[in-house]
Amino acid sequence: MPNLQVNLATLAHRDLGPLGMNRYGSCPLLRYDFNTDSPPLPLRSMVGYLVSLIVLTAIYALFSLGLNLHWGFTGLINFGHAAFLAIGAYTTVLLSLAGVPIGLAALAGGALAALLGLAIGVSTLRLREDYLAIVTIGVSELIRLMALNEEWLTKGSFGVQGYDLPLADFRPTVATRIGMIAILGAIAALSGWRLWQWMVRRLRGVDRAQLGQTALVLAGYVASLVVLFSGIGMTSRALKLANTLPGGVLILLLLGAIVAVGWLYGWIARRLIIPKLPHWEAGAVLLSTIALSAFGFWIFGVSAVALYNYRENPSRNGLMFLALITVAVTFWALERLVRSPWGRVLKAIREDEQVAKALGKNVFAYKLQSLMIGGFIAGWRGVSGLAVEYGISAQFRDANHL
Amino acid sequence: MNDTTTIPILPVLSAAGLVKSFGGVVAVNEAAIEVVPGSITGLIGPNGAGKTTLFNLLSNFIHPDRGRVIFDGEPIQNLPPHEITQRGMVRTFQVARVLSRLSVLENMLLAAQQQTGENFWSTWFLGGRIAKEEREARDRAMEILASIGLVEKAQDYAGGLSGGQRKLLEIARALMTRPKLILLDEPAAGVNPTLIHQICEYIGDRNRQGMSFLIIEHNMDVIMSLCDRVYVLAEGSNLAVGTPSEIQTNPNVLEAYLGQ
Ligand SMILES: Nc1ncnc2c1ncn2[C@@H]1O[C@H](COP(=O)(O)OP(=O)(O)OP(=O)(O)O)[C@@H](O)[C@H]1O
Ligand SMILES: [Mg+2]
Repeated sequence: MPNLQVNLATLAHRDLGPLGMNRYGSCPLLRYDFNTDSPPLPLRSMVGYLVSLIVLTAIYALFSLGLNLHWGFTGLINFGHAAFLAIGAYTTVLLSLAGVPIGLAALAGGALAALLGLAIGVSTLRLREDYLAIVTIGVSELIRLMALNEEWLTKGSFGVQGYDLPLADFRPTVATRIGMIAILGAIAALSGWRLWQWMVRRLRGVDRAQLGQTALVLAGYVASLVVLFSGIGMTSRALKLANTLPGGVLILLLLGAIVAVGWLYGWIARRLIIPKLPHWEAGAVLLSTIALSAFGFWIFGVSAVALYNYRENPSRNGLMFLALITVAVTFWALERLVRSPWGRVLKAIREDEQVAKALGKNVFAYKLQSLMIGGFIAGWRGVSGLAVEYGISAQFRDANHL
Repeated sequence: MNDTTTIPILPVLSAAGLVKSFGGVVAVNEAAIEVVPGSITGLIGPNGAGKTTLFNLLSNFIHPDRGRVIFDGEPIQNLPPHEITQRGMVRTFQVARVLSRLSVLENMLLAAQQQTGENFWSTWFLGGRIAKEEREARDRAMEILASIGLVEKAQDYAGGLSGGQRKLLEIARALMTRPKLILLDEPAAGVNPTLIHQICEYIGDRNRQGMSFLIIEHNMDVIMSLCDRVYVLAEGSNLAVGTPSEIQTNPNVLEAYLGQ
């Protein structure tokens, strides 16, 4: 079975800067001849790297969406979200290894994660809210240690390997590939439209000329900040390579520089930008809209190229396709939920659960539902065993220390 | 008005033998109270007499050590607070509690009962019905907000309301649940005199439409002008009960209020 092995570390050595530029400052993506079957090597690895990055981003996006339902909308303090992810991922992968179709296995992963939410909720939600935090830390640590040390089922720290990836044997025709690209295009267009609406709403009634000025100033502010920070990064790397200063001093210098820059820019923002630019918020809206749409367009571009060259690495490209769709569907579903009267009850519980109770809402039941749905989202890998693929133990550990 | 000394009809709320102690403090001690349907009943007493605690016991926000509470002919002392609200008895808080990061209108919409859209599965399949219910609830909410003078604030965050406005929102929200009986904990505290007058009129209006009220209040004008019957609580126990004028002339009550 083709097994996705993306080594981010080796790929990162290829000197690929932002936007996929190579060291000569040109973007191979733009020069890519779509008719050749085998694109030049640097491009292949670049797209591969970017695709892996997209998949990774999608995993974390799903992870945060579930967590946001808990913390952001219901006010449930959950420190062990990684436990849901781990349960879901292991269930999905192990079931699919046992021959269960991948879609069903993913559903089962989500369901089991939801059950974990139910178990945690039933045991702690009637107590003071600190207990939920404590128990989630405990459970997630428990699951991590079990998965890491258990050899028979989860294969300990090696992680499970060699299972089918979804769509790994899928060999789409040109028409199918174009269809897949069109689906992503539709998602991108829809997101772009929503972004546009948001911007228009936020910019209503702001003078155009003033807005342009503000946006330019803010762009300069952000750009100079980025330049300063990368300067600090490069200098400290050079200093480290030169090996003249002891490590402790270097770290102090680095910290000092970061604090100084942060303080200076904080001061500029507080003293100059906010008081002098009455529409700085509108400027920020405009800037972030531009940045977000550029980013979205870029993601769409990369994924379209990757999908067109599906055969380059079917499992990885298939994974990306499924991951993007899963994120889009989950996001849409959650938006719809939190805007519904159901979501209003969650927000009320976050604000003051005594009021929710006094107004006849079954607070306990809603908290349970929130825990289960958030867990389901984290556990529902939609795409098979992503977490394991990217080294579940390491990711899990990071996520645990979030 | 009915003869208030004998109660010919079943009370909408009746509680007897309620006891609650916090550590050594007996906050409520063998308290009893009855609310006749369609009446406005007052509950007064010095600070720390146990009035708010009694409300908490009636609505089961705090579980009583002993005693019975009967609402609408059925015992409710073992029901969770939200079910008591669903049955038609809603309480407000002495220190107004608003949902700060929700708009005033959303605060109101939350109070609507039996909303299809509050069921997780329905949100997916019953979009049309939910939209219709939301429209109806919105109209009703705006009506109540208008009558209480908060309509311009409907779209603002409730966290931005002043103390008095929060108090008003608290009352409006309780009304939004379409209750049979409302327990109001000091509705006039912190509200300016013109508005107090307006609130009183509003309560009177609702009462004529058949809603019952149980009101804790230190403002005697409010009690005198609204209430059919007044209970006096002192140190957790019933001290007196009667019409406002009877209470005003009761020497025990005067003594409790003036101390010694
Ligand atoms: N949760 C609690 N823990 C400990 N003691 C409490 C608690 N709640 C109330 N008490 C005590 O019970 C007594 C009655 O308090 P309560 O709030 O019911 O008074 P009240 O009649 O509402 O007074 P006020 O008119 O000032 O609002 C007070 O002595 C108070 O200190
Ligand atoms: Mg009180």
